[in-house]
Amino acid sequence: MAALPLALRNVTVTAASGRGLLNIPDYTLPAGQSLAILGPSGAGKSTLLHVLSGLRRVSTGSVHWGATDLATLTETRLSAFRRRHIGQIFQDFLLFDEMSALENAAVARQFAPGPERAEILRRAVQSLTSLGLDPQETRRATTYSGGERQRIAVARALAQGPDVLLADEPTASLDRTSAERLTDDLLAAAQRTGLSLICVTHDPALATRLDRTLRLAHGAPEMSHAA
Amino acid sequence: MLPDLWSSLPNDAQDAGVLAMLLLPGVLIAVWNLHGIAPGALTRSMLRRYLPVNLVFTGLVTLSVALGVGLIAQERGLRQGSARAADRFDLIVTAPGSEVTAMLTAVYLQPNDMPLLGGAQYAEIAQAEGVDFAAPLAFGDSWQGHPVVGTTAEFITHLAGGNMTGRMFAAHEEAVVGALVPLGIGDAAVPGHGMADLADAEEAAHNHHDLRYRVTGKLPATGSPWDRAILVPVETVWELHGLANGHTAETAQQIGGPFAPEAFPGTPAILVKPEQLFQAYALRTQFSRGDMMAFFPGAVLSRLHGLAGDVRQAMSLLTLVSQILVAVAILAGLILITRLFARNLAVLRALGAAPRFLLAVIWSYAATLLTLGTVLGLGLGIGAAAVLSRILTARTSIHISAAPGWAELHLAAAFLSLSLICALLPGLLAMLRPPLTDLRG
Ligand SMILES: Nc1ncnc2c1ncn2[C@@H]1O[C@H](COP(=O)(O)OP(=O)(O)OP(=O)(O)O)[C@@H](O)[C@H]1O
Ligand SMILES: [Mg+2]
Repeated sequence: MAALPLALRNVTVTAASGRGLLNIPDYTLPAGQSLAILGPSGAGKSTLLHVLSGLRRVSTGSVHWGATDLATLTETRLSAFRRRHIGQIFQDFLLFDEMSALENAAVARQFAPGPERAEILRRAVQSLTSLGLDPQETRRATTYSGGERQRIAVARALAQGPDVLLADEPTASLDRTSAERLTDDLLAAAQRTGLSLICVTHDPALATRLDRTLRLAHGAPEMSHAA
Repeated sequence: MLPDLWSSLPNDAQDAGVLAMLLLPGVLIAVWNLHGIAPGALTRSMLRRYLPVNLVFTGLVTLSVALGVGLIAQERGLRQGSARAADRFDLIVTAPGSEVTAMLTAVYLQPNDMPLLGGAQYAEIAQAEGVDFAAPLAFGDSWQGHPVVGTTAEFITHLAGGNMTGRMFAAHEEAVVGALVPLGIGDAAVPGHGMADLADAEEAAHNHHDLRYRVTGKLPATGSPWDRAILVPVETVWELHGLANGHTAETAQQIGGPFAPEAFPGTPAILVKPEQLFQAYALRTQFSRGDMMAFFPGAVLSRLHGLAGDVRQAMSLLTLVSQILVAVAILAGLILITRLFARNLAVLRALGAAPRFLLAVIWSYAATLLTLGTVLGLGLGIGAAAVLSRILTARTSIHISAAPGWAELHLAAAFLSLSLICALLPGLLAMLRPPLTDLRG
C-alpha cells in the first residue's frame, strides 16, 4: 500500500460571512503516522477533517496528499480520490438503517468501478470478522448496539482499502468499554494496513495512544507535540 | 424515401415503431444513468424506508394511467361495437324524421313511435332497380323481455350470414331466435303485447296473444341487439294486431314478399339490401325525398362518433391534465423524500461516490415506482374496461369488447418516458447539493 504523507501549506478557510474558520500556515504528517486533533468546541477540528477529505475546499493555500493537490481535482475526481485513499468514520456512525452489516460495510461496491467491487467485498468481510462481527448476519444495521454500529462503520471505512483513516470523535457516542475496544480496533487496523490514522477527539485515552497531537484554538494550531 | 418506406409498413409494424419511439427516451435515460453503476442496494434501501409513501405514489400512478387507458379502450370498444352491430344494415328507408331515432329503432331495436311508410312506398322501393331485397319491420310484441320482430326471411338470412342452425320459419307460427334468446329449436314461446319487463310481468301475463311460436332456427351471434330478438314472419305480427297481413285473399297464406300495396298495413322502417355496393348511393339519393328518407346507419354512426369525438378530445385532455397533475405531485413528493434521505446521500458522497451516482440512485428509485405504477395502471385500465364492456354488453346486447389496443400502449409509454425524464429532477437537485450541508446533522 502506498501510504500518503500529508502536507498543508498556508491553508485558510473563510466562511461566506468572511469569518476565518481555519488558518494553518504549515503542517506535515509522514505517511503511516497517527494524529490526534484536539481543541475546544468550535476550534475548527471538524472543519480541518473536511478540508483533509476534500469535502470542503480551502480558501487559500494547498492540501497535498502525496503528490496530489486536492485543489486541482474536479468534484468527480475528488470523489474518486476519496473512494480510493480516504476512509471516514463519523461520530454518529451514519449507517444505512435498512441494510445488513455486510451491505453497509461493502456499500462502496455500489459506486466503485466493476473491477474494484470484488476486492471491496472481500475486505468488508475480512474487516467485519476481525472486528468481531459476523458478516453472514442479515439483520438490519439498526438492531446493532452503538459500539457494534461504530465497528460496522470502521469496517466500511477499511473496506475501501484507504491510505488514510479520518475519524471525527469516533468514540464520543460510546460508553467507556466500547470506546476502549474501538480505540484498540482502530490502532490494530492502522498497524495492520499501515494507514495514517487521523482522529478528532476529546478522549485523552485515545489521544495519548496516537503518534502525534495537533491542538487547535480558533482555527489555528497552538503547538504540536511529538509523542 | 423514408416516409414512403414508413407508410408501406403494415399497421402493426407502424404502431410497434411508434411504441418503440415513445419508449426510447426512457430507455436512453436508463442506459445513460445506470451504465457502469449498480445502485440496486441503495435504491432498495430507499424503497424500503418509505414503503407506505412509495405504495401511495405507485397507487396514484396506477390510477392515473388506468383512467387514461380505460377511457381509450372503452371508447374504442363502444365505437367498434356499435359499428359492428350496424354492419349488416346497408340502407334504411323510413318516413322523414330523425335519422338517429330511426337508426335506434331499426338497428338497435329501441322502442320508438315512428311514422309508417305505406304500401305504395314499400312497393316502389322493393321494385326499384338495384334492390336485392327490401324488408319491412313490425314491432309491438315481446316474450320475457325479448322483442318479437316481424320481418322477412331474406333479411334474416342476410343477418345470419349463412350460419343459421335449424331452418328458416316456413309457417305463420314459426320463429327464428337470436343467439342470446334462451330458447332452443323445437321450443315454444307465447308472445305478450308490448315490451313487458319484470315489473309488469303480471300485467303482461293478462296481455298474452292467443298464439305460440315454435322455434325452427337459431341465428349466430351478430353482436347486435338482434341477438336478443325473436324473429317471426311479419305477416303474423300484423295479423295479431288486427291488421291486414300484406297479402290479398288469393295469397293470404303466403309468407314474405311481394306484398300487395292495398293490403300493406305500413312499416316504421324498410331495410334495403342493394345488389351491388355502389348502387347503395344511387338508392339513397333516389329515396331521399319529401315523403321518405334513406340513410346509411354506418354514416349516421360515424357522424355521432364525430360529435362524440369532441367529447372524447375533452376527456383525453382531462386525462392528460390529471396525469400531469399526478406526475407533478409525485415529483414534489420525490423531492421531499430525497431530502429525507439527504444525510445518507451525503455520507455516500463523503465515502467517495461521484455526484452522478446520487442521480442514479434517486432516478432508479423514482423509475421503479413510476414503471411499476404504469404497468399496473395499464393492466388495471384494460381490466376495468373489460369489466365495463361486459356490463354494457349485457345491458345493451351490443357486443362491446375492450381488447387492449396500441393507443393504450402508446399512452402508457408516453407517460412513462415523460415521467422518467421528469424523475431526473430530484436526482439533479440532490447531485448539486454540497454534501457538507447534510453531513453535519
Ligand atoms: N459554513 C459555515 N459558516 C460559518 N461558520 C461556520 C461554518 N461551518 C463551521 N462554522 C463555524 O466554524 C467553527 C468551527 O466549526 P467546527 O465544526 O470545525 O468545530 P469543531 O472544532 O469541530 O467543534 P466541535 O468540537 O464542537 O465539534 C464553529 O464556530 C462553526 O460555527
Ligand atoms: Mg466537530
